[in-house]
Amino acid sequence: MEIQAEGLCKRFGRTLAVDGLTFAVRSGAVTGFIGPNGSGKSTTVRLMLGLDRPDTGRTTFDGMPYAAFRAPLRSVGVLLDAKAVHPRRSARDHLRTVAVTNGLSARRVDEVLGLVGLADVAGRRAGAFSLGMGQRLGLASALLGDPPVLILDEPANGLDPEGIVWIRQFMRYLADEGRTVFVSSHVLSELGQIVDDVVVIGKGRLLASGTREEVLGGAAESTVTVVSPDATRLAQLVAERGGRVDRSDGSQIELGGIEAPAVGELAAAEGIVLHELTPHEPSLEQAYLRLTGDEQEYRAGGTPS
Amino acid sequence: MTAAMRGEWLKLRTVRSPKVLVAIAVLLTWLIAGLSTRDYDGSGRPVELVAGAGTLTLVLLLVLGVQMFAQEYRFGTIRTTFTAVPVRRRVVSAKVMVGAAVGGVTGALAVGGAALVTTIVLSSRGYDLPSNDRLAEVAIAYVIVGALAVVFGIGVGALTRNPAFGITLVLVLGLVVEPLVSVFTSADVARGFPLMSGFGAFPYSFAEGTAFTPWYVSALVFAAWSSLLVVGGGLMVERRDA
Repeated sequence: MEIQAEGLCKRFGRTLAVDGLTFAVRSGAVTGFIGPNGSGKSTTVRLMLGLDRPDTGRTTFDGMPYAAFRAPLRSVGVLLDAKAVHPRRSARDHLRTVAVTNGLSARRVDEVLGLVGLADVAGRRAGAFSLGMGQRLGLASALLGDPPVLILDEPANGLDPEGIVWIRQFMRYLADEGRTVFVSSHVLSELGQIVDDVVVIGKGRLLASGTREEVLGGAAESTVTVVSPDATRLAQLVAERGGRVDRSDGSQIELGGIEAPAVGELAAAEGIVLHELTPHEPSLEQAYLRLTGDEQEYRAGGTPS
Repeated sequence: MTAAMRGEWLKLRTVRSPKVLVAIAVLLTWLIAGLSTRDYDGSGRPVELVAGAGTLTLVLLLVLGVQMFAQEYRFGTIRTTFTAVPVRRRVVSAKVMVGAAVGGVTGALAVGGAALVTTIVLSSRGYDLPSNDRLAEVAIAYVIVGALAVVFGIGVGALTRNPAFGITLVLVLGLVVEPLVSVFTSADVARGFPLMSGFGAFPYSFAEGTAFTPWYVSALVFAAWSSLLVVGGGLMVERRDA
């Protein structure tokens, strides 16, 4: 099942939170929805599900709006806010109140509780849960209907390192099963290793979308770190051949605009000894920072002295 | 629709506060009926002892109704609810039907126990018992007003989206504003006020003098207010962001 968002716009008072967003999400892939804090990710997710009313635009799931599904949880699983539970209702009862509205059984509730590792605390009040346990409960809710589409808003928020690894592997597993996984996050280390496609937004506008390679290729390039006792001369030679010295720190230099094999061959030809030659592939972080450089809604003032 | 109603029913059953509210409403009605009967001196109609205890039932069921909607906004579960049932009028309808059923049953339990307590105490003290006809009339009123009170509260909860504000609003309106304003207006106008019409819908109660005659006219006015609030609240729920 594919998701198509077309021309989504949402204004809150004077703030244009989402500004004409159009993107597609394909099945069988993990699509990362990334952007700085306050860039409109959560608002976009709410617009997609009809929880917030878009000023213009629409979202369809294989051509159907979300509200048209008779039992939507069987088609689209959603994780929004982990703390959105009645604090005095048990985790199991919380899921039962959701499941029953879509004709899902109590047995399925117990299955998903086991799947997310909450079986032992299913009878405990959800209000006593940590943020990480709440996220697992939210994920259980999303999985209730065994849906072909999963929309997860900041799913690793509050999870411990083990939980983050688990959710990464879980998202990958779900996508490999052919499901559509759309996951928003501003913590790129959560997504960097598993996303197939990327949608990048800033101040509610679309900055880039496409496969991971397309977005990385368009917004970041590979670099090479070299450690050599003759780093200064090597840097000069690289510059003469059209390369770039991004950073120089004594015997260590960081080079751009030139591939690692070319640096090695150049050093060999000139008789320059190398102690280290490390190529760095472009990362999602680099692409993200480059794309969102001017689109940060909230930016730190600097390092405290 | 049935599935949405089952969800609402389960929500009520799986937290303590609705059950406590219903229990308090029922037990306090019985207690008030018992205490009034203990102090009964033979003046007035015995059926008043059963009917007069209904005011408190109404107030507590209003609170239950407000909580049924407003608490979903307070705890953020309204998004989960609308994700599971995206047609919002279906959610509002399900809440109204389940709430009305719970209110009606609570009214029936309250009046049943109150009638029993009153009958036992009156017969032990040698007084005449309320007639069955009048008791039946009071019982019907309890059931109808109980159902409408929850629906009224649901409407307020949908409009305010804040349980503390919603509950304060109905209490201040019913116990302070309406009685105060009624002092300065004609009785004909005052008996049509939203909560005065609810209080006036118990036949043979202390509110009889300030209510429409017969009692079911007050019940109809209360039903109109409750419907108006639910429709208004439902429209707001439909239009607003969740």
